[in-house]
Amino acid sequence: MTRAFFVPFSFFVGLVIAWQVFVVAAAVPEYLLPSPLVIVGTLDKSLLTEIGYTAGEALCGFAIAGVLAFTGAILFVRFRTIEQGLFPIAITLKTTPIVAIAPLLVLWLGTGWWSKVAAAALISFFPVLVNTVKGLKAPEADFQDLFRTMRADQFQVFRKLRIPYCLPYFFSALKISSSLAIVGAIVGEFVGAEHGLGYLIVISSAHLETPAVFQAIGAAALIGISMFYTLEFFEKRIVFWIQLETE
Amino acid sequence: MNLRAVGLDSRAPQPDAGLVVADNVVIRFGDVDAAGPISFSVMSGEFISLLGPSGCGKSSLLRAIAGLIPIASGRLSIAGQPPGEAAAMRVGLMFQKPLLLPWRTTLQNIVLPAEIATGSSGAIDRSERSQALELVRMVGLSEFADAYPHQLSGGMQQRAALARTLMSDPDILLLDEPFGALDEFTREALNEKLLSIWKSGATRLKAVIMVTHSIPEAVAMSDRILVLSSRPARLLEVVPVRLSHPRDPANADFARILGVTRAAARPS
Repeated sequence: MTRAFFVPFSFFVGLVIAWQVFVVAAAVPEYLLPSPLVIVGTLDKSLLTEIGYTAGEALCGFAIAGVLAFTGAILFVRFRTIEQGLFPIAITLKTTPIVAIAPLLVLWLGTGWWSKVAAAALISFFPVLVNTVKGLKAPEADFQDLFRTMRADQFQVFRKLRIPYCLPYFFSALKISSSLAIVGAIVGEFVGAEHGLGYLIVISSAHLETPAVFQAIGAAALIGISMFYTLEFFEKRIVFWIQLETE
Repeated sequence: MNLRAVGLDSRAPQPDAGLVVADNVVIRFGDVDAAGPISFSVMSGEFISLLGPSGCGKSSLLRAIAGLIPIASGRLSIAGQPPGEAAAMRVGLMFQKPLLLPWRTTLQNIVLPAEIATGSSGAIDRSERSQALELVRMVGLSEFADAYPHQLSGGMQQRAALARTLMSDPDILLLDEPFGALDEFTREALNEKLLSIWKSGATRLKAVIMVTHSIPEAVAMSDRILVLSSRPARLLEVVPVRLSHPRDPANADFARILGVTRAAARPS
């Protein structure tokens, strides 16, 4: 481990210590701002169950979105009419806030698993679609001319040029969407659920059980970080020839 | 200057008398004339240079021969057939940029034309593989056969691109300022490499057409130089270069032809 790890790590530890000292010194009531020690001390195994729900919904929605967006992007680039017809609709849907749609999803799909999966999929779909379309179109005209001089058909152009060329764009979009998927799942749980971190946050804050709210927030962040780094692990191996900036 | 002394010859080309025949060809992009009207022909066994200033439309001519862009009027034929349809004659185009696929090794890049020719299976056979290995050796990249493009220098990347172009076994090799982006030393070395491959007879090559804006390069490489005007490219002069290889720039005849070409290319 290097400086790149130790510097942010030390700052994080410093902030947590400052937080602890502030809460104790200023005698802040626990329902307003619990100290780090209280948050960690009241951790319960039941949190794992809630993490399981939210992570499962987010992952499932994310996977569905990834597959659909990738397939959709190929259809968009291959058939311009589909792109012309659907892209404006896609952009409109993309600019509609997920919070506005979530109640509808719960109404249609119930308070169970699928309404959250749908919310997660919906919110993570568009960045992947847009970026993948961009990547599929990215090979410069000379590359396409090269394939024409080799008399490649459309299928070969996709298989041997466009799809590999778009993978860096696809992965950077997946990394952005992974955190969005968790937002989608939690928003879905806010609206109506019996489980999950979103449900935990709503219930606990209503009962002023603030430490549990913080635990849920921390857990959501952990899911996001693990998804991000898992994707980065695969990205480095699959898209070994390039590292597009993802931030 | 006595043009006859160096055998300068600007006779109109005979139609139907060459591998590549351009007869009053005009290339147009929208309302802009890119080239022509221009007529010339390329014979079997010839190394031809299209020499002209940057942006004169010489690359467009090359792309038309490759069948990548249509001509607006005139007649353009390759072995008697329209470009892109000449099934009996294979045309290989090498671009100014190497255009290697970054996720493929040198060898994998070189076999690409063979893979595409197999259709959907994409599996190449043993003879194609050994042909690719032979090409890798020919362009001097044996030690880098399994390296990725980003591990190669600019000159090595262009050599790989040359090998890939030759992999499709072209009858006519079209070169669009192939080494133009490289430094002088690398460029000369690669030009020599190219000449030695052309002269070796190890390929099916019947003609080479090279686009360049370097007068010394055109004189050093070609059998005939087609001197083109600025946009839209028209034929100003045809300069035959009857010198044996290897050509020595210090040689008096070389210098004289250089002078003739320079005079022909000078904007009037």
